[in-house]
Amino acid sequence: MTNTLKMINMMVWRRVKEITRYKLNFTIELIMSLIWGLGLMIFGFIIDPAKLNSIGSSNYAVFLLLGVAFQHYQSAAIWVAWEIKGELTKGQIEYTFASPVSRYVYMLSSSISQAIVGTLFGVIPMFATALILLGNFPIPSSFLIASVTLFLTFLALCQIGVIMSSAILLFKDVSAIMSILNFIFQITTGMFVPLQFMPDPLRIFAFFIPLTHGIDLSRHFIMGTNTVWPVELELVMLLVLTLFFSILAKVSISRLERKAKEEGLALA
Amino acid sequence: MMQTKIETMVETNTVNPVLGETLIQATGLWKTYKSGSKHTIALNDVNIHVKEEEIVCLLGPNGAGKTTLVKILSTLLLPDRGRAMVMGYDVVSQGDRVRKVIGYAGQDSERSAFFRLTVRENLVFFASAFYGLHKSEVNKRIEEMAGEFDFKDCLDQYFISLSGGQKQTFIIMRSLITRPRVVFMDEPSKSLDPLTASKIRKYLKDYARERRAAIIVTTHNMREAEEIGDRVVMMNKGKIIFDGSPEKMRKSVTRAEVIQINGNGVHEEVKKHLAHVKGVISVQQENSDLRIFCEDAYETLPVVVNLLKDNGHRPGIRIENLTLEEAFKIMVEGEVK
Repeated sequence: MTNTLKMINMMVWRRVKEITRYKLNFTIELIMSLIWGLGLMIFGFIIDPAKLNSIGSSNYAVFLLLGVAFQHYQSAAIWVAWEIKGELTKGQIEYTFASPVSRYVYMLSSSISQAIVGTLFGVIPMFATALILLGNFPIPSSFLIASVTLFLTFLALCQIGVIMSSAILLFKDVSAIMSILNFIFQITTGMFVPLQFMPDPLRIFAFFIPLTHGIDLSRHFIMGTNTVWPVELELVMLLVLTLFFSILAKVSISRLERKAKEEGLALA
Repeated sequence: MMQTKIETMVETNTVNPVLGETLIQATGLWKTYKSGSKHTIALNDVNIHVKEEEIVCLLGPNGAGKTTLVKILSTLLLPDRGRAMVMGYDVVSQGDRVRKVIGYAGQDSERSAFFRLTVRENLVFFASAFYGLHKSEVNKRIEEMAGEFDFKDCLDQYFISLSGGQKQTFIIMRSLITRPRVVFMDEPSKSLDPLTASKIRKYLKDYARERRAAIIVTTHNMREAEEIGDRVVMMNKGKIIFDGSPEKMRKSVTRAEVIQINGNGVHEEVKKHLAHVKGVISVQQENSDLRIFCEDAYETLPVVVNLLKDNGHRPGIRIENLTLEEAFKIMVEGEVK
């Protein structure tokens, strides 16, 4: 546990150093987070609220805000696969894998640190701007329970990130699969469009994606929207999917790493 | 340098006493790479052992199996057959333990750091995140090593701005920052200037003695092998074809002696005749010098001198030992005693 925390701490330290290295770029990125918050709020005002009433809330600005937050954490969870690919390209993977750090911890820490830095410099400024301008603050207890569902969802997504990273060790490039994953996550999980508006087959498919339940539950706890399935079922499903993907990640990392070590970790 | 006493890195105290002072031991290692229907044997029944305080240089032409051997010993590759132990730990079944006690500097790793961090920040990151060392301790070690390598001016430069040689120096520092008892370096002197290379070699020699470390270095640089290698292990086509001191390596080839002549002004026709003198195996031109390889220089020398005199030449002549590079070439060609 101490090693994991140290690894996360050092990765956050490294990422902050990297993103603040070029001051102008960092300042613009920070401003962009604020502008995103403003933009989402404006977007929320111009949409027809009547259309959203059926889901239990007409606050499209907060609806979108939560969608963008989840999109951010989904990217952070999968980001590790791009990092592993980068290490493979740079020749760094051999140093990493000759070091005593657990591969699972390394990959998980990479995603968690990316999420922490993104929260500090992206999500918090964006939320602060939008909520201050809207004058609409969530109740602390609702916010807390929504954060728990977000954390669980993120944990489940991190496992998918680990699975993709392990696949990269063996197949060297899985960009196409990553694109498909991104597409599925952003289109079928209700990230930007309520799942209630989607056809049944898509909803059945979405039921097996942890992100769907994380987004749906968070909106329910913060905005009071109706959930697509009963709240208890979604919570259980989120837990089951987190567990399922965790086991799959652990198995895939040991199997794929072993296979990769039979053939060699180099890119060629 | 390194005033502190030999220090346990991570798990020094857990060395298997059965192995005693042998820190690296491999027996009957086999490795084959498969690419479609093509199978390439990279290691063919390789046996090697390295004791503490010993530096072993792995020599051999490209594709000889040096890198494969180093990767197996550092747990980056799995052998098909055979067994390898590092500080008493099996590299296959106890890989996590092996990784705690080794330092690794791989080949083609000049880009293997974070470009937007400085050298110091990179070293702090790797040593703290991967090995759990405290930042202040890492900084102390960085200063010490940078002083030895004359690298202090580069510490606060961004990694991306370093030259190829400076990046290589960083890679070497990174592999030693945790003060491992077992070190694997794959072509460490590649792209280093001669002065830095020499400083690093001296550091490695002192490091092995003072920290009772076992070091394996793969290299194509014969001078490096002579300078730091307590032993050279010569590989060819996946097999070890020689294991011994550099001196022993020179003596183990059939063409053990060389007559060197200043070849300036020696007619081409005479050079051709020299190659046919009894006892001469081959003649090679090296810049302005002619190197005549023979089995017994003292026996061949009078004939060579007479031939030169008869043709009006009186060049400077001396008898020399084979260079390690020449011994290497001869060995690869398969002429071992």
